[in-house]
Amino acid sequence: MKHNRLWLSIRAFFRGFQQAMLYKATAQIEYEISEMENSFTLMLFGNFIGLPGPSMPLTLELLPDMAEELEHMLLRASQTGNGLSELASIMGEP
Amino acid sequence: MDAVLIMIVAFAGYIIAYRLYGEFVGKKIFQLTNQNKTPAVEFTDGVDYVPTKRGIIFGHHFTSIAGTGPIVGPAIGVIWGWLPALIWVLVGSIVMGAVQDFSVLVMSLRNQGKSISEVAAGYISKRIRVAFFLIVFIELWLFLAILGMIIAVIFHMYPEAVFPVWMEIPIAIILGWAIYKRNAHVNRATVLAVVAMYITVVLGHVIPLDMPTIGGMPATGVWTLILFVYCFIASTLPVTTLLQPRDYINAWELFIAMGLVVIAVIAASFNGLKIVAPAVQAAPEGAPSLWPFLFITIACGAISGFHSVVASGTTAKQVAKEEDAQFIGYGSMLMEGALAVIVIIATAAGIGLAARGETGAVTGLAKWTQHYASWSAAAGLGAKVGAFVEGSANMISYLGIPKYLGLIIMGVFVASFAGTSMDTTTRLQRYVIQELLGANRVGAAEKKSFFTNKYGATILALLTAGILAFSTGANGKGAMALWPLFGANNQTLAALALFTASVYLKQRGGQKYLVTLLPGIFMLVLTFWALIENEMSYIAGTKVLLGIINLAIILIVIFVAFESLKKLFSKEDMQAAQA
Repeated sequence: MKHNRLWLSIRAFFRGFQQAMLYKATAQIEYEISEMENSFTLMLFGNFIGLPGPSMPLTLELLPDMAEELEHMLLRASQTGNGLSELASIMGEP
Repeated sequence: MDAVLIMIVAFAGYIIAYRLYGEFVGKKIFQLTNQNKTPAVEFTDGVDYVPTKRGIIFGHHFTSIAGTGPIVGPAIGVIWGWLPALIWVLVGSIVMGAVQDFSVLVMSLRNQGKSISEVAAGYISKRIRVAFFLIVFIELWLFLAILGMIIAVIFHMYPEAVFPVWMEIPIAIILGWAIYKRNAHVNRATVLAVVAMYITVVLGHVIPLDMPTIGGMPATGVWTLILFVYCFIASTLPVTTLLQPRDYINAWELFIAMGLVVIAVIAASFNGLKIVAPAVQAAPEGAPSLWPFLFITIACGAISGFHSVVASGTTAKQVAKEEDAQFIGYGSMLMEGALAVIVIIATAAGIGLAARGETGAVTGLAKWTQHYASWSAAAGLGAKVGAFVEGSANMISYLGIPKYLGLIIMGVFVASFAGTSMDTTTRLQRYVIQELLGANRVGAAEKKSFFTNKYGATILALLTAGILAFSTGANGKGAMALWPLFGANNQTLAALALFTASVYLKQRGGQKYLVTLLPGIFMLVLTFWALIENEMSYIAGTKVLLGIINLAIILIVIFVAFESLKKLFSKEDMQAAQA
């Protein structure tokens, strides 16, 4: 029984390590995707902040589908300030 | 047996410190309570803010703070003897480094997951943000130049490591292609990639690649140039192509190599492993004095200012419960301290051990002295990092792995780990340059600048690092001149983070702020002292570029100290904040 528990603990440790390694690797991709989403959102809804964009009817038609992404972007913009810490945290300390 | 005893006592000490001092700082000083909602819970969105299990966050956070620093710093710091290095790593990580990491994480958690520069700007002054960015810029600049030299020196010292390190690139590209394009099973692909990597280690022994002198430029100089070109390509490619799968393989390599070394310490202890380094070597030839330089030479592993940047990034957005911050912030720094202890054992004990079956080799104190007799002995940095590689290989030989393979495994480990750091540093420096030169400012789009686009900023990052790398020669000694500068700059950031935490704690009332203020003042005084000594030596040696950078750091230190202490001892500000 004890051996079984030990084996399970070792497996859990390696699984956790694997997960951490995968996260660290894939987090960079996630970050790039989120940046692309930010750019896409700005392209669509740039009108609201004075950037040239698609015509307003088209923008408004897409608004319900983009509501969640807009919320994420606004939260990011208001909470993060600058992305250096986030990037350092994703890429790791040099 | 003394080496293994040191390892066991140090590890046990870390566990006790975590239980006693860690809990004291967490519960009594910062009064952690799960009643406070973390940003991950308050703003949960399944994208950036995701409450995550503490074990997983610990893994994420530890892999983010463990870089090349905890290997190189202690490997150099042992020059003053193993005892001061060990004491600094133990005490520094417990009462300073872990406190800094933890307090920054908690402040970020209680400030909506904001980064340390934002938090510091809020608690101290908005002007501090500029100082913050300058410190980070200088830090990355220096480190980039140092990393190029570290890898170049490893390639020069261990030509057998060259083939495996470069072969990691095609292996990584194939791994990425197999997983992303062919939907290969991640675990199976990982095992195959790691096995392939270790096959190249064996092949490396058969095909050593010695770089000749080209056009009068020494081999280390040529390697440094090649590495900078590689860095430009790697840092401008999409992350999925090369960096991300390479980092992933490297992480496993780190895990395997460090696991081997820990087990090897125990195996070698039954075969005569003992400390051969002197307990204290107060005045090694050509080396700066122990006080204050030990405390800036060993930065990561004891206290690293850059951790404050990392701790306030994604980690703060994923902590599910505030009380988890002790395990994540405090615990992971102690883990890094444990890594530094292993490096000290390899360089103070492993280096003097005869490898299994080795006869006639120089061993004991004589061997240690070859590497540490003076600051520049056997080409400075190369000898110090080499001491870790050789010391580890000696110990690993008692696990049945021949020393020649052990040397390649550890050489590849250090070079590829430094390579990952170099990629990371280049990318981060690119962002800092873009930020400093105003790519993100309103109106920047109209003023198109070469140095704010991806390629221009990367070229600027590498060009400035190249100037620095070659300003002190390309033979490996230069990095020894740069390292104290890097350490002093890093510790300035640490002092700034600790001062920010002190202001935060003082606003909460009582004398609790002393827990962060005392380490902050300690770091500030030692850093300032080291910088002044640096400046005098640069003036005496007419090292203009280093003198200018050092002077810039001195001015930043004065600015940081002035702004922080003014805020800390301003009665009006404190009363207003407490009200």
